[in-house]
Amino acid sequence: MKLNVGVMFGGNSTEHEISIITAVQAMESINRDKYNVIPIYLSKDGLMYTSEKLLSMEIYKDLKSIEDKVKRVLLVKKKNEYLLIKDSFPYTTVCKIDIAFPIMHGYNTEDGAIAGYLEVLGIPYCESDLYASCVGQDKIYQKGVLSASGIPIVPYYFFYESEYIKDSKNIIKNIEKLKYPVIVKPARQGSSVGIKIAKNKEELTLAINEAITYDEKILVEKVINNLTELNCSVLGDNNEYFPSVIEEVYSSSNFLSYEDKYLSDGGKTPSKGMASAGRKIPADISKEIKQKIEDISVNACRALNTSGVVRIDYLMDKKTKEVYLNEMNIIPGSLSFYLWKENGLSYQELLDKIIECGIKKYQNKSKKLTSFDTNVLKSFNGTKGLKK
Amino acid sequence: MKLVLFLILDLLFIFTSLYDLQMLQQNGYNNKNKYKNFLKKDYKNYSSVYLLKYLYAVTIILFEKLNLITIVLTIMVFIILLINSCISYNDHNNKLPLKYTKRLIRILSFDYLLFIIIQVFFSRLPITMLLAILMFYIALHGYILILITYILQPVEKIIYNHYKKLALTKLEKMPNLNKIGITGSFGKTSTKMVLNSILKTKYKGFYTPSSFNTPNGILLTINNEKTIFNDYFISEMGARKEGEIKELADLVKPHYGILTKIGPAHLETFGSIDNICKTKFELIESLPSDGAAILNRDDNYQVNYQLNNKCKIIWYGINNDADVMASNIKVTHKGTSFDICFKGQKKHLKVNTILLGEKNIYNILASSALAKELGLTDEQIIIGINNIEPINHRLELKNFGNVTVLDDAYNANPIGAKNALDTLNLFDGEKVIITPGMIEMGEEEEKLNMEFGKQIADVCNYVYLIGEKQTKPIYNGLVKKKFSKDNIFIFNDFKTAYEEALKTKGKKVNILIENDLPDSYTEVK
Repeated sequence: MKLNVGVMFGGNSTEHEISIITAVQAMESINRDKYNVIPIYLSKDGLMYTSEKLLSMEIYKDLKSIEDKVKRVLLVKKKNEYLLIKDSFPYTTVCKIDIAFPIMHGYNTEDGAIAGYLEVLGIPYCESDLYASCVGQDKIYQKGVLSASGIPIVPYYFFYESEYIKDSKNIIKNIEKLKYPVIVKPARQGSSVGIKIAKNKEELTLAINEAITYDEKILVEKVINNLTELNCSVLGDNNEYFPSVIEEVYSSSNFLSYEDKYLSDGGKTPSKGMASAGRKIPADISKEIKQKIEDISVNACRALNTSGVVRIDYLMDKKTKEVYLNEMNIIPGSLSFYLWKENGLSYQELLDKIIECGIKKYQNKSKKLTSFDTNVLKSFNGTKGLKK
Repeated sequence: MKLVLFLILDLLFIFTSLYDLQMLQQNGYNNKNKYKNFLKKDYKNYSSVYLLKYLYAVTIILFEKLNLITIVLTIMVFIILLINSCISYNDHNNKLPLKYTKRLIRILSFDYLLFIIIQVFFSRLPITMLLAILMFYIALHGYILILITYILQPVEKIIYNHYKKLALTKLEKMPNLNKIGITGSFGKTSTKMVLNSILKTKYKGFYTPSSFNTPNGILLTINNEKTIFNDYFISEMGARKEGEIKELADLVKPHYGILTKIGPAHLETFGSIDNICKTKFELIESLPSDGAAILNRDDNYQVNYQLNNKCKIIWYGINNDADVMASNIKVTHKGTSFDICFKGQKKHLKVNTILLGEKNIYNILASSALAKELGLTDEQIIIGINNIEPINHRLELKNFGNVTVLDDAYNANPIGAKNALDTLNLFDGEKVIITPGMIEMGEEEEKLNMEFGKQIADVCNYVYLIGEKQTKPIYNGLVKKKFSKDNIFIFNDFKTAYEEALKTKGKKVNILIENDLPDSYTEVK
């Protein structure tokens, strides 16, 4: 019998529209012999919708009018089942969901928010759990965890908006220790949102102000010279991780901007997301560099305990051949299918494997004792003896 | 006045009815006429009460109207019957209370409704006639319940079929579920727990709880299972008659079957050992041709049975040549260790388990055979065996420094007791036993306990008896074997005895707790 896969996308994030692209692409390719696909769209104000119409890009051309054309629903748990029910009387069941597949990008969704929501509900779901997601999204946490595992990262500095307001001179002094040029990023955004390079103090101030509009936690990194950007995807879980082929990405400026990634060719052809950014697959690198990146990738996934498919972005200095891990993407754009195609894995097979990982993750967690049967409160005599 | 009479009558009805419903439930809702037989016995035991009811009903009809005499009579009779039924109800409710299951509530509702309808329907009749009819209803209530149960049978069938459909759909949805059936005359539960312990190192699965080895129980287990993402389902299958295993196998359609051992359990309902054998093999005969049967090479019944099914057979055993064998068996205060040898594989598996007793070695062999068939590696099997948790109070090993406690508190039969003593004998150090003796053995009790005393004398250094009167036969048995009276201690309760036993001097002390009933058993002096 077929499994009902509830693909969840959208959400209150700056990458709302990008997740729609990834999700529609994925839903097109899911194997209909094994699975029933149920699209679950989360609007920017946190309401949930479902409908067959959500399977094609047509309906998204006008986001504001979507809610008139689709069913508004709630995801609930009833005994041992997970149901989408109509969100108003008579609360009829729209359909059952066996496993959730979150395809969301960015702050507020990919950062563990959706994973945490699904964990509390208790429903099986694909991709990484909230621990990996959180560390995967907060670049500062990530750098800490990765360098503790011996993974090379670029020199960096971070600060909070409140600290900057209190004493901007000191913050700038610390940043300048990195030596220009530096790159300023909101610590928890993705897809190159709010990122700017600063070559001097004026540009730095502008860049900081830009970043602050997206996050109160700001990351500043040293810019690598002679830059080559390399990406590698990883599939699997802590039982076994498989690295994909490595691609080199080209950009109009020194880094792949939001425009590069999603609005290339002036938006004439329907956006293909990450798949359309200028890229070279496989990247033209030496065998040693390839092995190094593969090893670091597997090590990084292990450090975070990721599950399903991730994409890891690297910076390489062409001259010194030094490789640095730039950032990890817990739910990568287009689920990096174009990389796995080079490995001989069709998108359908890739999605199959991601769903299998999700099932395995759920089964493993079910075998663990996460609550106790004994009722400590049975002999509760008041709050006196609580803290020892 | 009329109101008071009917009030008391209704109260009488409620208490009688609750008692009767409880008896109906405990007698399997008259499955195989069990309740009918019970009613016959009940009538013999309480014939005076029944007679009173009938007598009253017959007498009251003779009167046309209620006058002072009849009212007084009626109230007296009602109160006597009410007190009697209250007492019966309380008595039985303390030991095994009535369970308000959905089925019981259906019968109860039908019953109460009927009683009310009669009162309403016959209200035009002279009151004495109505009282008589209602009293007859109460007197014959047991048989009325049998009738109601019979009438509601089609309803129960519809409900059963509904749950069956739900369960089968759910099973179908479980991708690649490996269904396993376990049967045998004993050891089913132990084998199930051992198999689960091993399989869960690689897979996730679920199993039927021990008391649920009936069709209803299996459906309940499946419908209550939290998730569809399971790799295996272990169904323990029990039977008292021919055809019962086949019924369970047809429901679950297992792919794999394990037979523990054929023995004389439930011989009365089966008739003969051959019937028992044939019934247990219903599981194996039901396996698909690409399934596998795990059979016991040391069980002659299994070896000699003519199997029709051409499925794969994997034999396990200790004494006879089998596909999966145990050797090098050692018992220590840490448990049992032995080697598992798979035919065709040079390397033996060195395993350790906290379980004791030869029976458990067979259970582990059978489970390992199936685990290998399901793709587990040697390492996973070893880890799984190591992780087997002991069953509480069944030859359960507990270590406290230099004191080893063998907790066999739940065993209540002589064979198990001897087995426990034999196991105790294998340990080094001082051997102590704490026991209140065996109870509820009927006429043989004294003889069995004396025999037990003699067996203890051969093994133990110190004996702690609980309850002087109760354990006299054991004491006599010990004395007969010239056991030193200085080393026999008698206590009134387990707690004190245990605390004293812990003070036994010696580098290694092993304490066997046999058939103890902690907290509840203290002899009244």
